[in-house]
Amino acid sequence: MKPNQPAPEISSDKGLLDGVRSFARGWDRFWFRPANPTTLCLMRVLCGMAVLYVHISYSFDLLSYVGPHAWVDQQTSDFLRQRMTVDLPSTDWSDMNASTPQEQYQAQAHVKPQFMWSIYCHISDPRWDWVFHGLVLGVVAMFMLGLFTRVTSVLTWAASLCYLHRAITNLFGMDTMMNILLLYLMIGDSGACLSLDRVIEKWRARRCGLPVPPVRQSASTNFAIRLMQIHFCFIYLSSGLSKLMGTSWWSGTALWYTFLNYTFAPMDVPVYMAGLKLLAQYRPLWEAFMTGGVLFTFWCEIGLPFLVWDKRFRWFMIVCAVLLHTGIGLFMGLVMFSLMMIILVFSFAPPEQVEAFLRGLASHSRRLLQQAATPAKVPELAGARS
Amino acid sequence: MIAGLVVLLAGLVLAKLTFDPAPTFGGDNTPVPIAGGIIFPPTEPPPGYTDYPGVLGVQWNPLRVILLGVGLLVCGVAVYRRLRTCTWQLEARVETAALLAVAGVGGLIAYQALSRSWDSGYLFLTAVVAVSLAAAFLVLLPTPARKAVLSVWVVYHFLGILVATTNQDPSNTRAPYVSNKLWEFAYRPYLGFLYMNNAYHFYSPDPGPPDLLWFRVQYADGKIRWVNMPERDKSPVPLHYTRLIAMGNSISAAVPINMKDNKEMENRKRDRVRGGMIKGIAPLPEVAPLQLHYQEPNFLGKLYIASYARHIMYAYPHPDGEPAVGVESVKVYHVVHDMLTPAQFVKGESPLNLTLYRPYFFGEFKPDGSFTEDGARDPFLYWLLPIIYEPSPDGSGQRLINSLDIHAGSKNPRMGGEMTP
Repeated sequence: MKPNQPAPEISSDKGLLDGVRSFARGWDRFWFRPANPTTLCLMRVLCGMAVLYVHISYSFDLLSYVGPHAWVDQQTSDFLRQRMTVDLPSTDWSDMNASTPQEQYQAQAHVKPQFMWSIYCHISDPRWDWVFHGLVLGVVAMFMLGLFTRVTSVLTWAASLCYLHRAITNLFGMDTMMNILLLYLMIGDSGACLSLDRVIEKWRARRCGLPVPPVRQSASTNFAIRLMQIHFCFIYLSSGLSKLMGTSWWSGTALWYTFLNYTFAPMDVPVYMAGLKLLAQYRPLWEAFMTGGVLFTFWCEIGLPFLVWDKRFRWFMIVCAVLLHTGIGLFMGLVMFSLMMIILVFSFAPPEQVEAFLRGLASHSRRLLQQAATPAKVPELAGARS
Repeated sequence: MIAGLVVLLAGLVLAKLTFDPAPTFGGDNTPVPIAGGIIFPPTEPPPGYTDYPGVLGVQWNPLRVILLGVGLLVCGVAVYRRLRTCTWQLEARVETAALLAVAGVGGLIAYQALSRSWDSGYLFLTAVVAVSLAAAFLVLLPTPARKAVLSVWVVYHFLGILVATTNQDPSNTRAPYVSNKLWEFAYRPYLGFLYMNNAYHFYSPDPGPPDLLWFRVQYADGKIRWVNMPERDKSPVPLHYTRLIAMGNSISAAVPINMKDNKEMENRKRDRVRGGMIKGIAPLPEVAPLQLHYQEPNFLGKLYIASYARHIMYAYPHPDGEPAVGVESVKVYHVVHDMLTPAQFVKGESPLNLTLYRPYFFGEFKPDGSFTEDGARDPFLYWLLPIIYEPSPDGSGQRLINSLDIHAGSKNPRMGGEMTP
């Protein structure tokens, strides 16, 4: 037996072990390294404002969403929760071999699809609907301001789900994004700064004669940000790949059918219509614009999940996503959906840069305020001297 | 925490003294008219169900709910305060875990005190108890083990998101079997509870035309009113308008034609053609496929349509303010608003051209949400009512045949004529 024979095996085991260790270290760093909370807290402020607007907008027709005689009334809501089933393929081939729809139905599995929960499913007096809605508005405002954020973030998430699980046919993409944001903002320490909680913390420290504590860097902040980032990549990739199945996306005409959708698009705006007419009059221009738009959509939705992790492309991809959603907001009328997506893509913004930007913004605003105050004082001083 | 538990116990005591209303589907002896005439038979009361009236009747139920809500909130605040100040020493961790477990007990008390008809509350409180106990367990673990458990959750969570994105039937085929079964056995409660079932297939496979809902309301005195959803100028805020658009999408999923019995379809088609000849409704364009002519909504769609009809009857009383005159029936039309091609647009055609609207009749409903007798027998049920131009009999040009107006027996103001945006 040659003494040096086992050496390659040991080295390969070691290599594998090193690989596993390196992966575990990378995983640990990626998910659990404490992070600066500025980005997350700014997202809380922006998301809080959007969520407050969304819930205020419910007030204009509250009972048609969540009341006992809503679009989906209590009777239907009860049925959906308690009795509704969906048909799924059987665990063998019997549903495929069925000769009639009845046989196929019998062969399929029938399961309960809805796990809905909402206080609005059970309130039968509209006055209590309003009372609860008022409480929700208060809680969302507190969350936006960052007051008792750890508690109000949970309450805001639960409250917003009460609307989503009740007004199920009045929902669209914006509600989905709002729910994602609220879930992850609840997990992270989203009230660590830019919040009344932080103001109170500073005030308490000063009152006790202690130095102002630094902003907490926590693993939960990083964990929440990572959850948002990965989820965002899932959303974009799924949206982009599913479009590849569509013929209009392949032919490059899909954008036209969003621009000319009378229900969504701002077709009552003369400038918009004039622009569309100008575009359609010159076919090469029209084709280039539409195909370019489709390619840009694919670039963003399929490219971002891969390129955004590279520091060199990060800001570029963020800007592309913001442009895409600005377009969706302007031309397809989905302003709030776009806003939620822009807030979500903001999770990729490095907190140090966000902090520097906010500091710069604050000092610039202070300077502007001082400049605004200075000319008013000059005549007074001059008058006093004379 | 003690204060929270005391409040919850007070709620529990009150629960034992108040009347517990019966669950809606279970113990209710009246049949449920739902889904466009499908009547669900009453079910037997659940085992052990007794209609105990309670010492205090029903009037204290709101107080019971308030006590439970406040009790849970106080428990939550206690947990928050503890988590904010506690250290990660073993002794402190054990205390924190104990507090979290006690919070779980609070959830259990609330579960016991909840009214039997508040079934979704049970779901929520089950989650509260589960999360409290899981958190207590997590706090007890040393840091590496805690990270490992959280990592497992991350993998489970995003596998669930992957399942949600793939578990949607593409056109003409089914979703992957594996996704289907993972959703069925591993993710239904989790994704459903968190409202994370969305597949994110926005505007795919192709951006389709919008789905509108038009209601023709007939009152007992014969007066007729049209309610069109959505209408931009009648929505107080843009978000309200978008939410009404979403409602149209909820009923657009149709039963595939190949799932229908051929003989039955032939009979329906014959009735439709005969009915068209009698009423003067435009015949079906022969070149278009049957799927375009006949769009029977799936079961869920039928549920929603019946519910929308009931809502309209409730929310739109007599226009002249006569509360004594009730609604007699509501006819529901699902209208697909097709879009212009670039060539049509350049030619100057209006996007509001009447022929771009494809109305389908979705039934005539009584106030309880079931079909009227005429509605159930209507040969146009789920059929397209074409709006087309055809040569006028005197050969002087073309005349518009608006089958919607003919079928409804009244003119929808929205179809008053072509408007230029």
